[in-house]
Amino acid sequence: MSVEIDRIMQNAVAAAGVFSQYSQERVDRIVRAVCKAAFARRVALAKMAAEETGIGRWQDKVLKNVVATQLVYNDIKSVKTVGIIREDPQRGIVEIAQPMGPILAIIPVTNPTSTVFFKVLIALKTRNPLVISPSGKARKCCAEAARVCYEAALAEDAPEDCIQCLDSCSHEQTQELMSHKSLALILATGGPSLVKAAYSSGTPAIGVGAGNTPVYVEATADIPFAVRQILLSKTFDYGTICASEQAVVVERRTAPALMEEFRRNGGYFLSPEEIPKLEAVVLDEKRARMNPASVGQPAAKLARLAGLPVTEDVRLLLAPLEGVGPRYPLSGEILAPVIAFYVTEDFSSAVNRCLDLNYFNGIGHTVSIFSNDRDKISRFALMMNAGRILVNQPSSHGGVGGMFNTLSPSLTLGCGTGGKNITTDNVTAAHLLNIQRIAYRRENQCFTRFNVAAWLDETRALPSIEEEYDRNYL
Amino acid sequence: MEGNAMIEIKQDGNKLLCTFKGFMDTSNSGRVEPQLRQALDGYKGSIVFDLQEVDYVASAFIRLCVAAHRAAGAEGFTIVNSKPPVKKVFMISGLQGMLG
Repeated sequence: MSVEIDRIMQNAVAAAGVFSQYSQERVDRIVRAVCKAAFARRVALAKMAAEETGIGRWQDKVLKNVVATQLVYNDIKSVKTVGIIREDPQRGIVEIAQPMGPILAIIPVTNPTSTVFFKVLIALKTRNPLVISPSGKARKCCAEAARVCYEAALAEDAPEDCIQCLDSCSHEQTQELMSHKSLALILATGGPSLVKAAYSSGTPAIGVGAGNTPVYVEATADIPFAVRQILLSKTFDYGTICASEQAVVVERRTAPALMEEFRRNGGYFLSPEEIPKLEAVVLDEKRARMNPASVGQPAAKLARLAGLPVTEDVRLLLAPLEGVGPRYPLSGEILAPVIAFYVTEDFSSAVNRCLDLNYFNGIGHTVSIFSNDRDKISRFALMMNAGRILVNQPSSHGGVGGMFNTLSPSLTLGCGTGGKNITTDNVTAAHLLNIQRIAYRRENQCFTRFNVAAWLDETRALPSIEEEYDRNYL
Repeated sequence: MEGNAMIEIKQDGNKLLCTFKGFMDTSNSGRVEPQLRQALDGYKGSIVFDLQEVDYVASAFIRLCVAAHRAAGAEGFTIVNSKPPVKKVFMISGLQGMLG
């Protein structure tokens, strides 16, 4: 272990020890103060993030900062996270919340300051010190966001070193940190290789999966409304939210109206000849992954680079495709205002197409549907493998939660085992606690009065044992 | 299809089209297996399973698909027209490569 990493972890462990003595009231005062301080810098830090990373729109990053502060705070402020948090006298169970210990927060380039704010708030709320490891392309804005939070926390008498931000961290140092014996948990928000490294480190990790969100505009959908919502979502921060729509699926009978509505609102449908030109811009040379330079860039800029004849007011580039998979590179995740477009024959074929998209590198993440038919919404939902099935709402905002639904606002969206994650939840403070249970004696009367000799007699079959075991306790 | 038949097999040029119907549970899969095995025995062309009228598949039916897949080779076997619940079975089973 390097001296520097050891020093950081020693500081974090000391902070964890001190933090363990804090009451709920004291913790809540710290969290409130940090939220206020971060919220006060929401615009400055959004501009700083947009400028440093060159990704997205600063105006939208302001909203991300608001979600990560005001909305996250509102969601967690009343949650008990210290000491006895639940009692069930009848069952004789008392639950105690204990902090986990030092947490390593991996911060992505796409949502840097908002993810710092979010992770700081949920870590402090649960009395866990945080070590922040920012993306190399977002170090300055993350350091500033961490500084703002830390100073506000210290002013409310939070433990020293409860927030530490790594100025520079090589790949090796990150690996070293991830597997450090004193680290309790990794909150890994980032690309697949980084999340895999976190899971492989031997330290418990909460990671995220890749997204490939299909949006099915079902025949009963309000088409102008659906188009407005999809545009709001897919152009938000120029498409950098991992829950954003990646493909529109529509039935043939409603396709012309939907296409017309997209065109009227700044959508541009690519011709078959134009699709390879755009692929060359938004994907790498092998057409296997996103070109990092295209992430979070406006549609007009991408179109210009691809030589497409569009006007500057174009908002979304739609690529009509016939299939899903490596042969159709635009059928995968593109974190930019580019979206695949599929026309299908009927409900079944539309659901099948969404299944294809869902299983093409998007398992467990998010799917979306616009419909006014509850039965079809349920049938669609039952087929999908997604932590979030969003109905009649923009999926970027809907996935993050707290704006268009009552999901917990979060910048870390679990994708379940399909996405190699432990949860499908929107990760929040509740995931950062060790819950201890006091179990008072409450005898299982069936068990204590049962003659155990019956179990030793293998000629006794289960139904006859059950009858005796449950007798008088129906 | 007639009577209890759950399978209809048609030779179409170099393609063997097998159309199934109903619940392909263990019992029904076992019922169609001899007819299918006979058709596959020594067959060299491509094979298509049409599942448009299939509402359920048991492990036994998946084994028939795997057998057909082996007989025809990876490129020569395709499942078409599956309904979403049946398609999902193949997706979860990691057999989406069989789906046309």
